[in-house]
Order: sequence, then C-alpha cells, then structure tokens
Amino acid sequence: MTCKSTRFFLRPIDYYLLLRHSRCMDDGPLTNWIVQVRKGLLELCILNALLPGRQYGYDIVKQLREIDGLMIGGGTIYPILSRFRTQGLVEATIEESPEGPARKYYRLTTLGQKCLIDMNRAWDRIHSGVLKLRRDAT
Amino acid sequence: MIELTLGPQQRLESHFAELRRVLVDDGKAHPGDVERDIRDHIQTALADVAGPVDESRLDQVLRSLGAPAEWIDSPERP
Repeated sequence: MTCKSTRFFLRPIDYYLLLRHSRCMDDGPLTNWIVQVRKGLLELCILNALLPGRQYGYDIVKQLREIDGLMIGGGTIYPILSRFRTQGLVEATIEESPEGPARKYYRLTTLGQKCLIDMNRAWDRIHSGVLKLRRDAT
Repeated sequence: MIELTLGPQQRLESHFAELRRVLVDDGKAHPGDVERDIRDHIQTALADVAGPVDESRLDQVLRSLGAPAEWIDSPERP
C-alpha cells in the first residue's frame, strides 16, 4: 500500500500518529537541543531580569513569558532562584505588600552582578560567533 | 488571601506534595523556599478572584506553572 492510499483510508488522527512515530517526524534530537539551550538561557535571563533592581517572582515570570519559547512552565524559575540564593548570586527579602500578604523580593548580590557581567560577555561572544558563521555560510 | 473550597484545596496540596517529592529527590533547590514562592505566585495570580476559587481557575494557574517534574534539570537523552 502506498503512502497516498494509506492516507486516503486512515482517519486523520491515525495518519498523524503514523507520521509522528515514523522516522521522518522524529524530533528527538531537536527537542533535546532546545531543552539544553533553554536551560542555560533561562538562568541568564533570570539574572538579567534582576539587573534593574529587586523583583517579585511573579513579575519575573511575566517578563520572561514575553520571550517566545524560553519557558514552558512559569514555575521553572523558582528552583533556579533557590539555587542562585545558595550560590550567593541573589538575595531575598520579605516586604509588606499593600495588595495582600507580604511578598518575597529577589535582588542581585555583588557576586551576582559580577557573574552576570561575565555571563553576558560570554553570551555576546557566542551569539556573534554563531551569526558570523551563518553569514559566512550564505 | 484566596479562598479555596475542598476540591481545589486538595488539588493544591497534592501539587505541593509532588513539588516537595521532586525537589527533595533532585537535591539542588531548597523545597521550602520554592514552595513559599509558588504559594505567593498562586496567591498573586488569583488575587482578583472574588469569593472561593473554583477548580478550573486553579487548574489554569497550575498549568501555567507547569508540573514540578518539568522544573528541574532532566537527564540528557541519548
């Protein structure tokens, strides 16, 4: 049976599932690559979101959601913030809020600011290198 | 402070139980810190709801946060 005739006789969902599990739509390596890139960039973006000053976790999530494809679940940032605290890159303070219960605000420490400068430099070098490679290839 | 009826309350507690389990297993973040942040996040996201929060509204917020297992570094696939 040819692909064309299979398509004709199968329901759309069956045809989709057939394609999804066939070699031609195997997106495993791409998905894995996106996960790895996103993981590193998310840390960089959280620190950059804190650069202007202290931020509430909810507002950091809102800002990062503006970057298409960066974050799947908003909760992802909280374990990272907790780890950054342990590493001394950010500090947290609890402040009273007129809108309800006291809120926890995050800010960069001096170590966090220095680390962010280095991370941004590293990212700029990599990014411009990739762009140059792509330009040279065309 | 948001009000939850029994169903959403149980749904939320089960979410936090999952969160603690995942973070304790992972061992990289402090589960108490993260739970406090997530509770604050949910509180803020639902602050405009008048009266008890229904299950679908709570689900919407939990979906936007994602499943706790998705928050941690997963082992790289071969």
